Amino acid sequence: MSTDSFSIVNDWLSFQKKYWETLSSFNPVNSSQKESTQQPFNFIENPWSDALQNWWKKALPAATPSVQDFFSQLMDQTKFYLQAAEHMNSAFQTASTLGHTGSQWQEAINKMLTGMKETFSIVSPDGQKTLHNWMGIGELPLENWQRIVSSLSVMPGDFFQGLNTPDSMRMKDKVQAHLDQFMSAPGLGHMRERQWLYQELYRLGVNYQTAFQEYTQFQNGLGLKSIDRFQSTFSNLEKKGMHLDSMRSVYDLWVDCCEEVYAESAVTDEYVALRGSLINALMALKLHSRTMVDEVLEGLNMPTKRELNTLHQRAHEQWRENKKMRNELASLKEQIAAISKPEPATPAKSKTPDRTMRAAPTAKNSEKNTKQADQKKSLTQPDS
Amino acid sequence: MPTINITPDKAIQEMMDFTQKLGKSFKNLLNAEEITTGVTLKEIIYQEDKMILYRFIPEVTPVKKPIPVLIVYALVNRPYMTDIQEDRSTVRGLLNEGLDVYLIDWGYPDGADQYLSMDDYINGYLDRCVDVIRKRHAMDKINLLGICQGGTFSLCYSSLHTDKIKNLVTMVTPVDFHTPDNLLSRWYQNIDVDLLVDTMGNIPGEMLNYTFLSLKPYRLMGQKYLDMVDVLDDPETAKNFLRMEKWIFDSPDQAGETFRQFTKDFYHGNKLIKGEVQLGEQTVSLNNITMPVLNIYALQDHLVPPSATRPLKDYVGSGDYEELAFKGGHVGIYVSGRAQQTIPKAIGDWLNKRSK
Repeated sequence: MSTDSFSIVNDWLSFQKKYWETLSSFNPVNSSQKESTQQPFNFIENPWSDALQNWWKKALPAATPSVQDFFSQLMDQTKFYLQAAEHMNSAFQTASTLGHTGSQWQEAINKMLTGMKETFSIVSPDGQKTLHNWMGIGELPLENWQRIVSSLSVMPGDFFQGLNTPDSMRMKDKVQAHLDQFMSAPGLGHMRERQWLYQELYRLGVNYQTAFQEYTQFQNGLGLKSIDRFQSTFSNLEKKGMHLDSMRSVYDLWVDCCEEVYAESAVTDEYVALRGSLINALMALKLHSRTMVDEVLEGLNMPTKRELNTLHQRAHEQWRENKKMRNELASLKEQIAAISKPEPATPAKSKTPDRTMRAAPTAKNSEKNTKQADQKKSLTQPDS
Repeated sequence: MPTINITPDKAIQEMMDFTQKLGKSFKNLLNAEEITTGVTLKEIIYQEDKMILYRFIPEVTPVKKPIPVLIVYALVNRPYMTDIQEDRSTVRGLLNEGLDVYLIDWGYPDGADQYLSMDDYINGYLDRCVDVIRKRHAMDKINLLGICQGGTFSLCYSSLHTDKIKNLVTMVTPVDFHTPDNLLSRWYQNIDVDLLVDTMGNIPGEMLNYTFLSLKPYRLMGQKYLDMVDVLDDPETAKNFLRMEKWIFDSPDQAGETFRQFTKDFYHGNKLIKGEVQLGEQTVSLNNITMPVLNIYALQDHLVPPSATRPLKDYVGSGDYEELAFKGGHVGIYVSGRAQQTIPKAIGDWLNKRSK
């Protein structure tokens, strides 16, 4: 297996080498400062990252399960890093045809960033996707949530993504109209309860969808703010005494800007409320779904989650009672042993205490009151 | 020097170098053997349900200090963080200081454990482990070392069982849960914890884990992986990195009832410093903690900011309270090279002075 996987690695490396050589031959610097126009951001293909993606698909089976997860994460980041490098390189190519003054570089980069913002500001599902994908990490908080959803439910994390619309309020109104119609249908006869369950499921589904859209919109806003921060930092590199001498330093700067903006936003009341609503809405939907499954199981005379919980709870109460009695028994045994010994060899210090018999501890307030504040000293470890 | 010094050909070369490093990393990762954790030899002393009490066996330095120390780890993640690899092991450092070291492994709770409460953990499992060690050493009191949530548990325990604890060491332990820079606490405020626990039963480890990663998503889920490409060409570094990754994503579920009370009492109600935490029929008062206390915190801790742990000095009843600030993060305090050199020694010295 090792030989095969190494051969895949070597093939890929040699392919990369050829690829870069070919690409370099088209480099405007190498081709006598040939005029090059910067491509619009959304039309740029991703040859570097696509090559990596194709290679990874072939190499994945060679990886052992223990490293597959890790490598998938690494590949995702690498892919996005290469995409970002491609985008940035396009701007650098433009800049390099203009000259080498710092202001011309910055102008070219600013132009690219402005173009990106315009693209992202266009409210369309594709625009949102592009924003999330830009440099990969822009998508992380949202992707994170989808992983949570996937791990907590039978639904895939992006279950509701297909229902997304750029204008969530319009969508909400549209859905709301249908929902109102549906909800207004009166429940009748012995199926009334069943009908209510479905109506409630639908209502909770829409609640979750709304919460998810609001959360997504907030994340999109963060993306735009991050670009603003990046652009502003980029414009003030000299003032801040910063130098960018590699694509990696550009990527790191982008991460810093994203983290800064995220840290500022994640503590706001708005974000806390959105995050809370999202989790609460998902839980309400999940709990109700479970109730419905229980209804079906009950109809089939099969054990339900409700029953199981009751059993767990009773078993736990018995377990607790057993522990308590065992402690008491051990304590009694020790007391009997102590009484039956005519002359104890050593003072019985290490008795097993019985917490249920124990009096509540008394606060040693007098000790506290006599204590001097300066007795509490602080040792701070040196930085070395 | 120009502020931007990147040319297309330089950028292409950089990407080329990067992809070559990536290829080498892949080779090393493919060659990585099974990832082992928990490197120090240990014996099982006591076992109850899914919980195991271990004692570490010193390989070099014989036990010199008479009073054993019990490590109480958090319910979140796994306790092998304290003994993650040969050259990065707080446990090994403590053994080298001549301490007799015990550790509680809480195990992986499943659905049948969802009704385990904080009272069960603290006045039940923890108390029984302390009693086992006391009996084993024929001592009235032992030393307690609580880590993170385990530190909060240790504070509760020490407050209720003052007669069994000689010295208390807390590491990266939250005490005041409502400080402004505690992002995790801010996020918990709007969570309907009853709905969450009633729905989920136990709280899935994945959920807790991704919540922690969300505190710094771009660094912890993105940049970190690219950083590693630079160092993965060394097989040993690759293995160490995978070991850390294993630990990060090795997240046991948390018993529902314990999570409910911990969130309500600590994150929502900030009851620890108010003296209102109720365990069984007893009320936890930090003022009852009169034994010596060493509170160790990390200056760059994003999970338990220093502001959340330092208020301990204002609430404990002990006249012998010391703090130790470590320049690092929540995990670095156990695994960084600097931590190995300083933290176990500081604990050993501090306990040594107070163990006579």
